[in-house]
Amino acid sequence: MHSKRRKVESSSHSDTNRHDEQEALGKWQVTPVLDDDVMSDKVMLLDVYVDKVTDPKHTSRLIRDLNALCPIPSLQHLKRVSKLGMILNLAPEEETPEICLQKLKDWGLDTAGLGCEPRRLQVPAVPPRTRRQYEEAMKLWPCNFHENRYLEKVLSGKLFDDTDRLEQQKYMTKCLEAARYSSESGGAGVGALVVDPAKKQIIAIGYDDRGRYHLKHAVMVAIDLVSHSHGGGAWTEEARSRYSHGSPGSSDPVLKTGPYICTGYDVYVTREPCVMCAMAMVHSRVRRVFYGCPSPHGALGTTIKLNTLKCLNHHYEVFAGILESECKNILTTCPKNSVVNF
Amino acid sequence: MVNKWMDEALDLATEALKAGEVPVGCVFIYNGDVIAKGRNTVNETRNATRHAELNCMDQTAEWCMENVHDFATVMSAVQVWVTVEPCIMCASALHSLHVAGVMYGCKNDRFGGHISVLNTALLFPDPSPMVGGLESDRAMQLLKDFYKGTNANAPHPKVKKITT
Ligand SMILES: [Zn+2]
Ligand SMILES: [Zn+2]
Repeated sequence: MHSKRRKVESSSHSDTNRHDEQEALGKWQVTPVLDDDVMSDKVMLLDVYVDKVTDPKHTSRLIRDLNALCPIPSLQHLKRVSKLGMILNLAPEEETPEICLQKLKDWGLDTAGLGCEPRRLQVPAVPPRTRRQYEEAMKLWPCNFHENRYLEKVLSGKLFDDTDRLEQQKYMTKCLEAARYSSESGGAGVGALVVDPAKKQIIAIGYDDRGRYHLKHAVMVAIDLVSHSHGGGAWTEEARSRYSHGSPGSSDPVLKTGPYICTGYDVYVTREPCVMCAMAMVHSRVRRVFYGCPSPHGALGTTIKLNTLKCLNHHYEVFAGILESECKNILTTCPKNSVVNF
Repeated sequence: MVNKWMDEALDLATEALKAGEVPVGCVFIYNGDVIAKGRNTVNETRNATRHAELNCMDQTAEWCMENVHDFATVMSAVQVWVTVEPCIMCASALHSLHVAGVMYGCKNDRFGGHISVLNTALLFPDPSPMVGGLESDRAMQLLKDFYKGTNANAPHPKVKKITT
């Protein structure tokens, strides 16, 4: 979709800029990097035995008795009864309908009101996580659903409006400057920026300098510059270099004291981060990561999605595609990329 | 055999504990010599990525400058001795540098990049061999001592004994 073109009467510099920015917005799309469980519309299935209810007068009693005699904890998200009948029990492959029914009778079920001809049916195996999954699941069997409104907004692409996207574009443009500098000075052509979204304040800009030192990926450099701006840091020479920028801590009256100095901050980076950088951002408690183009070694969507590993103690949100083609262009003109392996 | 390199790494971890850092220590061995000794400096640097292994890498880079050696060549011959399973970040950095081998003490249930959380070797075409379980009780005891003490920054870890 094309952004609405504003008629530029005046040729003043800022108006032209604004016009260009608006036009550029139409050229990229932001894509959330989410757990596969959430992205998929496929419903995982499970076999159960279902029996017709021949006398509706018994329905509520049957539900009560079945829930007491034969609860199915793994199927809490499903209603016990539907137009198709009553779920009796799970249906393991080797178990015949007769065995299923006999077991229930042995456990003391009064089968009055049931057709006593159970048939195998496939029902949704896990609770739906998105509205789309819910709609698919409902085609098979009625189920409960607790909508995550934030997630629905992310999925619908309505999380960010044009103001947000202009801001993302602005930050990524800054990253691109650092990326260009990286490319010219023997790095991998990647730039990164850390911003405090609450104050709209850029905290640090770093560029990839792996030509000089293997670990100086743009993200690692930017994180260290944030530490530097809070009175710490390990790579102090970075703070003096041209395209590295760490805003002095004195501008922030409340210096953060712990090591988790990126708490609440967003990171912008021109290329999908590698697994080292992705984990460095977990350690630093970054809030959100915005990247431009994917990388064959990327750990936020391409090889893995580190942000979706449930066992980690911190999870940031990830969005891809900001000024994607510009970010990619710098990489293709960067000689360093033929030799790097992550 | 009691390993002197792991002893050195454990000494560094003890030093970290005394300094109020997560007690992890690491030494890099090149041609039979220690060329880097590192420990966590996360609080000191206010940088949550300053783990023992990365500090050793920085030292190795300096050592290479002073001794006019190629960093990548030296790293590919380095034996890493570290008291705790390298985290996903450090394990990735070590694989990417093709270190000769990694020997570690106890598991890292929260962040481990070898067997605990994510096997990072699968993400690299030519990963480095890693072996755990050396002096793991001593390494684990240091972590327990740390998390027993006052630590405002980190949540309580679920530390388990290595089972192998
Ligand atoms: Zn990286
Ligand atoms: Zn680490």
